Amino acid sequence: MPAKWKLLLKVQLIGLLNINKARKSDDPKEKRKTTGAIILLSFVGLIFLFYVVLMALAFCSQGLGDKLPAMIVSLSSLIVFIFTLFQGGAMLFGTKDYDIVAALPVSKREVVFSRMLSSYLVNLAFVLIVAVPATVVQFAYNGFILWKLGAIILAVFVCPVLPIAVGASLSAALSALTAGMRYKNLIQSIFAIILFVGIMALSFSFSFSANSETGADMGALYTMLVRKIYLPAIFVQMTLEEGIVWGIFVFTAISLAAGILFVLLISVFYEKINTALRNRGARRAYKSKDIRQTKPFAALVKKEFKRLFSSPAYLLNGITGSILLVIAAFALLFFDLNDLGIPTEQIQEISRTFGYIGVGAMALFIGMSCPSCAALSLEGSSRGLLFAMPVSAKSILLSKAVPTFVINCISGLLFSVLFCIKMQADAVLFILAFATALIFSAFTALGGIFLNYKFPKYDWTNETQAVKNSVPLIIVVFASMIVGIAAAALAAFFGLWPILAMDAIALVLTVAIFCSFNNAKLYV
Amino acid sequence: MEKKILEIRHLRKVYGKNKVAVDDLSLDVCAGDIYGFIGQNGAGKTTTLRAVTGILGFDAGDILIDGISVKDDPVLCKSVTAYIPDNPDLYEFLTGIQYLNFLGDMYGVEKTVRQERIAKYADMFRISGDLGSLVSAYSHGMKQKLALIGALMHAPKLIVLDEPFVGLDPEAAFKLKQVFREMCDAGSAIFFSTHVLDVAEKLCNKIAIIKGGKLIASGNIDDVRGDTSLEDVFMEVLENDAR
Repeated sequence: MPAKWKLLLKVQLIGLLNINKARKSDDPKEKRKTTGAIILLSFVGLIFLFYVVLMALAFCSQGLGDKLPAMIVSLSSLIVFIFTLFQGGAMLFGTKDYDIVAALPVSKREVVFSRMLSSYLVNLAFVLIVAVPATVVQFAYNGFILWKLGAIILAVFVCPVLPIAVGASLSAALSALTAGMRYKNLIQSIFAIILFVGIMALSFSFSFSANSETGADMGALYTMLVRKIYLPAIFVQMTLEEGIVWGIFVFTAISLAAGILFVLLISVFYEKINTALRNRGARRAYKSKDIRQTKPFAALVKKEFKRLFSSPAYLLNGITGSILLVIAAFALLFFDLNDLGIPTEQIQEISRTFGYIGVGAMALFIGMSCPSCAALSLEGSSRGLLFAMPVSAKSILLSKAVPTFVINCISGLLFSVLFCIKMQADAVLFILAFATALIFSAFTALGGIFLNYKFPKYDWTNETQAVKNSVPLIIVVFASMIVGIAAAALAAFFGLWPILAMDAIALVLTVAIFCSFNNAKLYV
Repeated sequence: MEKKILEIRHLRKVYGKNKVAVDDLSLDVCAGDIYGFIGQNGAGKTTTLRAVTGILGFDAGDILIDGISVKDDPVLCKSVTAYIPDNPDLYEFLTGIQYLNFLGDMYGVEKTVRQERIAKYADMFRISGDLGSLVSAYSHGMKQKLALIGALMHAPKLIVLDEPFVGLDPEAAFKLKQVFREMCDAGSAIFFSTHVLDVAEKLCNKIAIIKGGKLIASGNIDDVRGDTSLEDVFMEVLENDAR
């Protein structure tokens, strides 16, 4: 008989990956949807692969191939940590299946272990997508060395463990501290945002200090960056660059120890935190007050905003790009084009090129903020309630796009204003930045809800499954990365035109999606 | 002649390629009817109720609510209907009063009417003091009561309920029956599924029995029941089919 944690893990993965729906359903629509999702994901995956290979080639061509694995470990660990933190404890606590699992004859340790393992596997998949092509390129460029391959495999496979353990521990601590509070979800979200902003600010400051400490030596700069982003990666670097074999074993030992410690520690408090979260002793006696009447669409939009702010996992995954954009906007306040030592006659030309690149980058960040791509899935088992209401499917879908549009618009326009001022932009760049902010906010919002309408996932047991591991999210985030990076890169060579083309395509698609909602139907 | 509030005409719903959930089902629910819909698990009750409320598409037939086809104008049909599913999965991130206000806005219930009805039904079901709490803090029964208040708030012409008495305390169940009768006296119609045959027998004036997606019997309860009890009729229907 398999170990119980294996059975738990199997059930979690079936739920997470929607395997049964794809395999067992005899509904032709389901099959078509699954095929469509696989084709779309494969397409996005292929383009992403192309990017990773290009980046790896650029690294290797500069003689930095040896630094690539440690850099991947370092950056992946940071991203895994942030993603885990953004789950807001949803991986472990307050899941819909808690009662079922808690009643099973299985130890809490095994439950925690199985949940951590499912999170590990998802994160590992992400790390592998980056690490495998990059490693192939590195070996093709620098020559194959067997022991290095072994060390890289070990590093890649254990690297998500420590960030997951630390991120989930912080989330667990936050869940435990706020369990009895009325606005615990909002408080958790605010704490996580503060933490995220802090980490990003530290990363920026590390980058700048590394730059100043190492001067123009790119190799030393990357070595410094690896260490400063994720300290344990120093051991991977020692093994792969300096040939110190024990380094990789120390890295493995630290990661695994953190994982074991996490499971042991959290399993002690697992039941207590879950009970505290479910008791929700925050009831208040209600006294009748005057109520405000609004139109149905306004009521739907209000509900969507409340939903967004009710879930740390939803909020944080949904608005990451906007937060980064706001951070970037404020960081611009400390930037002065004149400090770069560029001759005055060249400033206008360079600022215009930087301006176009910046506008492309803004589109990327806007695309990363897409709560609408999970808004329909999050209706979950209560979707019948909404679909039975006397409003059209179009109104429901549009109301779900509004928070994404508003949040992206605010951050996009704020960034545009500060960016254009600092870049000493002319009227063309001003108009382009504003138009891109508006068009991409609308495109992301409508594109997200359109994809969610096509690929909904209602049968989730925790919100993270609907928010983070959904087909729409993967497509939106990666597609916006691809489009944004491509537009920014092309803008460096061709100026205004790539951005204009990107805006025009996005505008046409936005209008097409809007019109397609006239025929939308929402059924349970 | 009785005014028909709900007309189901040759309804057919197939899941996947060939799983027929409801087959050629026709029935009428008139103003003033309390219509019970009974059948075994998987007989097609919930599928029929969901199709009536417009949240589930169907493959053939038509459903008219107050003379309007659900296919032609689903929004108008929904505006005169209320639906309470078997499991009250309400919006847990809203407070009780926020949830009711949300429904009030969606159904366009005028402010003073809304306040009056919320006060009336919340007092009746004894959850007035809890309306300021998050729905996530409610017990199953309280959620059921909140869902009922939400359904009654816009005085619908047709109330569709899936197992409405599950989870309610005896007092709330008694009051719900009272409300049903009041609504029907005012010209509304109630169409609900239940497994509790005693309730159906005492409360309903009409009954329909569904089995394997097909309507086995329907009509006035006295006609369906004859000289025996509803339980006997139901068991007889099952046994006849088993033979």
